[in-house]
Amino acid sequence: MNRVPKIYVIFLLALFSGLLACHPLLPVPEFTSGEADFTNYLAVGNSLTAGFSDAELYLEVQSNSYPALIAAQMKTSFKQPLVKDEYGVLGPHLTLSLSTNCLGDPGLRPVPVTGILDSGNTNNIFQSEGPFNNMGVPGIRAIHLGLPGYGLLNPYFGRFQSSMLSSVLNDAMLIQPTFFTCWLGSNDILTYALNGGNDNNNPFFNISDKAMFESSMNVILSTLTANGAKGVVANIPDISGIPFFNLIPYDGLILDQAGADALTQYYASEGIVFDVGNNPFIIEDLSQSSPGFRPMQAGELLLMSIPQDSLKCGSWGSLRPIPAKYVLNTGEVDLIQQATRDFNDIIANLCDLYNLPLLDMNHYFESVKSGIYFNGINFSSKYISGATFSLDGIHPTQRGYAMIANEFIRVINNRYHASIPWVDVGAYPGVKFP
Amino acid sequence: MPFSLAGGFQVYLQGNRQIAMGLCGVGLVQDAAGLSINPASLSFLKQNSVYLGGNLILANTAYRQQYPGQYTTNSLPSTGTPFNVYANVGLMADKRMQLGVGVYTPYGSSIAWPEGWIGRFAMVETKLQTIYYQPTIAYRISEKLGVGAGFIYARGSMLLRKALPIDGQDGSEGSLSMQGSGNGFGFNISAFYKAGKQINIGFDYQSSVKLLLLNGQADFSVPLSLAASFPDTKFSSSITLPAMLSFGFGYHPSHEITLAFDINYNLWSSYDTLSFDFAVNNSTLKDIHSPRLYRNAVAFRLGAEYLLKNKWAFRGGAFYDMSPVQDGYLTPETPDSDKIGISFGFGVKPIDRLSIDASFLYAEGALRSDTNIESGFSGSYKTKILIPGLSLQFSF
Repeated sequence: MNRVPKIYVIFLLALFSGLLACHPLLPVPEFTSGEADFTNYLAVGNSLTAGFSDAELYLEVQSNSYPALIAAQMKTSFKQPLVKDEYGVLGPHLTLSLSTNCLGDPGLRPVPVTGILDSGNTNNIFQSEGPFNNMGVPGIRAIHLGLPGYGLLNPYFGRFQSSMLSSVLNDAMLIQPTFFTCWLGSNDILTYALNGGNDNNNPFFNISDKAMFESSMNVILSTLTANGAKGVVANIPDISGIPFFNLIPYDGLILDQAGADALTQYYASEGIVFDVGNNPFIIEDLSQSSPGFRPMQAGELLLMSIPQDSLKCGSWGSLRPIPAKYVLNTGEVDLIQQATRDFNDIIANLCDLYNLPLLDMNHYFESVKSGIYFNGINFSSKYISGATFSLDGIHPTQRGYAMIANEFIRVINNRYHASIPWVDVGAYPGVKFP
Repeated sequence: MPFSLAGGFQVYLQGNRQIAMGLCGVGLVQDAAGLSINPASLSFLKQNSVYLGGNLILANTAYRQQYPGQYTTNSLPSTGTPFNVYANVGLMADKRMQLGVGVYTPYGSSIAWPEGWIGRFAMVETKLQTIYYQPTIAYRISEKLGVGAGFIYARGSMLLRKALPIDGQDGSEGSLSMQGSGNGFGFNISAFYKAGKQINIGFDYQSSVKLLLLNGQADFSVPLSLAASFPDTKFSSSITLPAMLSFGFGYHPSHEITLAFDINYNLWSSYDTLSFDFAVNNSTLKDIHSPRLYRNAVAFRLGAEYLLKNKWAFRGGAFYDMSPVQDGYLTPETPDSDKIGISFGFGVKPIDRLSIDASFLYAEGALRSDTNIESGFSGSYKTKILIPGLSLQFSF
């Protein structure tokens, strides 16, 4: 019987060893840069690369720009031309607030943030802080990247250019990049789209010339790769996935019987008939002198910049045709989409030429349009609730930018056999509610 | 209360004698704990007894982000304390009829992840507790065959907590907490057959139990401007605790040695969707229908017992338990995978009428990686479980 007490000892030993064993650990993969060298990471691009959001460039979002997030995951130092405050460089950024509209309806609407514009925002910081790894310049077109003196035209570059006659591309090379991301081309099309198709023929609003776009991108990529740097090139998202062009439906004129009858009578000479329910807005039509207006057609787009009070209370779109500068008509939409296809073809061909991986951002935003789930978050292109787009309806939220950072990381890892860890998307906010 | 030991959110800790033998016992006449896994076996117990048992479940799950992510964390330390109480009293000549009642916890699961963890929009904490109350009757038809049946009244409660990806201007993050409790009914029928001097066969069918949670409370925490869109509301829901078919074989090559082999077939496919029907709905607050699409799953169990001088018993066993969770449906709420477990234990009779049984079980889930289709949440999970337990049975 004196053997028996041993069973207690064995039992207790098992209990203690088991307690220690009951904390499973999963080893994490090591970070490696693979065939790439992330020592000097350069980001070239436009407002999307700069970290522009809510209609302005302000410190919080700029600090979490997608290149800054990527650089943090690459564990490489990364200097951005940080702005001074949370207000905005040229004006206030937008914030959500409870307000009443012209109909007296309360609701959450984007309003300019309160505060004071610091006139020193556009003072040049290159001498004290440059050169910079993030060369994203809000508003820049690919065809202007090599333009000397561009800072005179664009204060967002003026504030961190190396000299009065420098170009963005020239300044970008100052950090001697060993690796780069390049996401350009949106503004070569978007400027035209944001201005409702440039009905006044403003030379600054046209879609960039195709040949010029091709040669500019060629110069950009040959310059960036000249010293053997590797990198990734992203292409241009189509406007169909951007809330700015999709928030207001073409047939958003909602009428009751009396309203429909009144408008049908009002437009009797043109034979336009209105029904109860949804009707196409009446828009200005510059292609015909008489009557100079017509109902909007499916596929035509209204811009989010249209004054909401005029639409709701000023009879815009019903008694008064919506001015053409707020409308992309069928021909204009076709031009925009053809240019997007052409420019993306050019980008894809140049990627082949320079042996660079292509990040199909157009495809990514296409998938967001139908809604994707990531880490329990639903990302869609819905305005405000979709988590992807900020209050300006064009630029992503911080959370949206974090998703974009992961898209870059995916392509970099695949192409260069690196193992850059993912950005924690949930750590960055979407639209913030009061 | 209990962390799920077996597949899905099944616990299956019926008694410490059984646990020590790899959770076998459907084909054995052991003690009052047979009431839960094979009521018919009671009819061969030639005694009255009162049984009290409990276990301590120490479980932990590690999570790792999908490659090449470096985020990793562990679930918060979870200690479940499932218990069981059984009593049986024999009637008629030679106690060929047994009346009994059991209170036990066949299903349950509890897991909590650190607040603010990367998967918080999928799940922060989930807790499912069930208690079965089972009055039982067993009758020995002949010296070879016994039958048994029990009526199950089940009570259950659940808690779900997760973060909502809604950001406040004050830096806050939304959250949702849902709590509810309810009850359900089922039955447990079985047969026990002494096929020979050395061989016993047991069969048990435990019906599914649909727990109706009718008066649940959902509490939303969201920024003030959205409070009207996410009102706190009542909800109703139901959870079907699945039916289980069990076969057990007992083999007694000698008086001292018992070998057992059990198969459980868990009809998990009844767990199709987890739905929450909110009393208040609006354009942002819609009812939840979360697909689970569990599949039926099998567990295999082996156990052995050696008797020493009719006073001591030494036991050991092992099992393999297949996960009912299909690829694409793995959640941090039930990070389930095929499990392999070993157990051992001993029993002692310090006096003739008292049995003390201790058991010790260790189980490990296979490393499993998945992306949940519904939430888009990816990662790998690894679970380890340790369960010591103790039972006392007084016979008279």
